Amino acid sequence: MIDNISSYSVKNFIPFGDEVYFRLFERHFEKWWPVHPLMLLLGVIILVLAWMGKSRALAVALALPIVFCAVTFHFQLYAELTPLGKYFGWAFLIEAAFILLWGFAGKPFGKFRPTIPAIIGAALAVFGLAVYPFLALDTERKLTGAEYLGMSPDPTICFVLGIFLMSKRPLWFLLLFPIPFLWAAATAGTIDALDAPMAMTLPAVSAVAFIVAIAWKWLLPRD
Amino acid sequence: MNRRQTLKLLSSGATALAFSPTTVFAEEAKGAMKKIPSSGEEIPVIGMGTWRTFNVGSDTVLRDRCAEVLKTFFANGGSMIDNSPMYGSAREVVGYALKKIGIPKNLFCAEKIFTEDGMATRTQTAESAGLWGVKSFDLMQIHNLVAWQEHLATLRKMKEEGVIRYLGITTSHGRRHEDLEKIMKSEPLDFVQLTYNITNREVEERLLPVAAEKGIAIIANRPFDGAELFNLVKSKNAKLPEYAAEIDCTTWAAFFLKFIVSHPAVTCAIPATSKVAHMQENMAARLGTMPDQETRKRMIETITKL
Repeated sequence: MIDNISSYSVKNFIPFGDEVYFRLFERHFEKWWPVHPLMLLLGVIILVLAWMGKSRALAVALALPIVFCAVTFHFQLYAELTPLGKYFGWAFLIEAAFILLWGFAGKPFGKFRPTIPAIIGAALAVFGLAVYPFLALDTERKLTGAEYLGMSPDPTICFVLGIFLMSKRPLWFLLLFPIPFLWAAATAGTIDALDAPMAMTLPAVSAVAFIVAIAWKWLLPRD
Repeated sequence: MNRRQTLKLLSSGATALAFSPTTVFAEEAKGAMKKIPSSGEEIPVIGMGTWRTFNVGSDTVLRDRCAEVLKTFFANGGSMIDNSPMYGSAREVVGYALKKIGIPKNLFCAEKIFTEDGMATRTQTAESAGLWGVKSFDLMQIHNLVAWQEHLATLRKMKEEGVIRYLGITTSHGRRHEDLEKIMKSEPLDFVQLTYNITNREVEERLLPVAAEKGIAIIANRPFDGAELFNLVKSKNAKLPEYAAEIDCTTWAAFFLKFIVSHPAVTCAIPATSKVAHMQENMAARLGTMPDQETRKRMIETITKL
């Protein structure tokens, strides 16, 4: 259905305005509060599990916010505005399945060692968990319209990428990255097309995660 | 009138010959109207688009605001609403708003077919009618020329059966103009929708003259170039020129819209908005004096110099 692809900009594929998009987070908050503090608690538990090296429990715990976000945000809200909501809903469910496979098939977490990737990973996870919600304040949104782990895709992906870096990283763990990167590209394109600030936050996080993952693989000693 | 005469007419400024203000624009108090060439039916020169603005999902706060926008549109003499299956929840939201404010007698429903399945013309029309809450559409257009041969054949039958009153085809952003011109010349169409505004005037060269020659109504989309025109005047801190008062423009919205609908071959423009105040500004473009050819040139100069 698309001819002359070069004549299109990302804006042509965003069929809603900024107010509608950012109100999704407010509406999600109204519907699901007080799940938010529970997700915050879950995020802390996941960090503790990573520190303790409990791979299977961590995989299950990490899959939960991704599945919750897929169902309550992508399928129930975002899909009303664009087919991307449905596609990313399924993509997030697939990512959750990958994480379960990753946690159960191997043993990606051992006792925490403060390597550079692990420290950067922990920092990204804490950023997704505790800092991301406050970014909304800079865009004149209230905390009821902010984005939280498990409730909105951006902080969820940020947190997940951080946890990935905290793991032992066999080569195939890079297969976990494409879906988060696709979402990072989609959210950046959307926010930029809406002329809203901080469009590049998640792509920047993704770039850091990818560079650290690659650098660790080839430039730093393995665990 | 042959093509050469049409071109000469459109470029000379002698628009009064074919499009005199008395025939083009009805009583000023009611606002400007133009005739659909294929039927002679008059419609207001300002319609309403729904791209982006009416795609609000199940958000009841924004749905109610859309209903207010629609109410303002009709209260100010509006008639044509344009929509598409491509616009997310916009069909459903228009249906919600129409149900809330009541369907006015003068509603002119313009929908689109947007599917590569050439056999789905009737199915998608019925689906859209259900979402709008109307029995039938006044105008059904083929969106962006998608599977146009198959859809056009079915739409012709539907028009004969009285399921729709008019048929048309659309494009935007200046895409596929060569194909569109061929279709306009070879197929009987009631309407063509295309992008035309004060900074995107490519269609003046060929498509608008063809439309005038073939008796095809023109709907101008992206009248503000997707808000870029407002961004332009805002970034330059530009004030309306003094002559704007002579054509009864008190806002840039009216300035941009009057430029479009004063082209003799253009039937109406379809600005989209989610704000009542902006709808009032848009609808004010129907009122008062319309720019003549000389003023249109000045309007282009004004914007070009920014």
